[in-house]
Amino acid sequence: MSRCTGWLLHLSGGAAAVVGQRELLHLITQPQTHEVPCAPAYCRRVLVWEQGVLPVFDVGVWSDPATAGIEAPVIAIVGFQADGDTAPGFGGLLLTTPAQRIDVDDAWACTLPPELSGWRPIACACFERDGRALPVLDLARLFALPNVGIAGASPTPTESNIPA
Amino acid sequence: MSETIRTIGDTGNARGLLSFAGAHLVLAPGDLRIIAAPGDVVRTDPPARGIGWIAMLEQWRPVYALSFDLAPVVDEAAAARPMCAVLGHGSALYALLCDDIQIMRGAGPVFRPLAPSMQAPGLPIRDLALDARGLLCGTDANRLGRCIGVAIRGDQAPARVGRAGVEA
Repeated sequence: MSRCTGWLLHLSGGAAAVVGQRELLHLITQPQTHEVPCAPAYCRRVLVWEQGVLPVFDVGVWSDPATAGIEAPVIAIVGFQADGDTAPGFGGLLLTTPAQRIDVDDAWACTLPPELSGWRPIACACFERDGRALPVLDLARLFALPNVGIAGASPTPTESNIPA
Repeated sequence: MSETIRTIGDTGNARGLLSFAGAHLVLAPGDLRIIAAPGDVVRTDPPARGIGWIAMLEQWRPVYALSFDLAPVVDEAAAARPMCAVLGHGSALYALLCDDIQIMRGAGPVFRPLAPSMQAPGLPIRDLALDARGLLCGTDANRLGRCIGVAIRGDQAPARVGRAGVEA
């Protein structure tokens, strides 16, 4: 058996997930963020950090769009790298409380349960701890997720409303 | 009717900064054509989801007011915005009512590409920067026009608006 350390993240809507120990770089309480017009509800704000403008992802809202936003969030700054040849990327994750350091044992690995099947695009593994399945986030995939479109926007101009 | 108040001449690589509803949009160089007065907007028979029409280059161009999320709005407060920016190229000219319009010259703040997780088909924002005014969203007139989702060829205004540039 092999044990390693990770960070347990408490997300909006009661969701929870884990990231690797070295992926969490910084926790910011009372963060100053900026809203981006037309951005999707789950990635609506950016944070200025180390001269970069980082997207801030609300995984709970991504998982369930009906989830209410977090009133006083904590932002976890995370770093990730898709592979050894690409430049590292950075982003923010909205949390309800500061991340909690936990030990993880390989023997706890499990498959994503049906109620978390929607997490497959952003989870690289899953394990069970205290009777709860906890997805391990694949941050490179999460922050590369394409948005499906903008509600109410037309992809191409129309001329139907030009007065005749 | 006076067609323009002020032309944006000799601007080189200057970029127009349009502020409204809390949003700050920075246009591509050359996209801001004219800063006009809202008094020049003819509000008779406005285009669908629009505020009215403004004359430029002997044609009527549609005038819109946008929400923070860049959707056309027609409420009283938006219609009362004190400045009007005419933007676009060729026949695809349209106008936006704004709370403020500034010309950004020089290098300005560094713009960084929008993160993939924020991108979407039709999203008009290309990049972001931050300065004392807040978050600046880089865009261009063509993308913005497509996002608004309305026609930007406003050369067929209702007859009773009058002939552009001729009617007093």
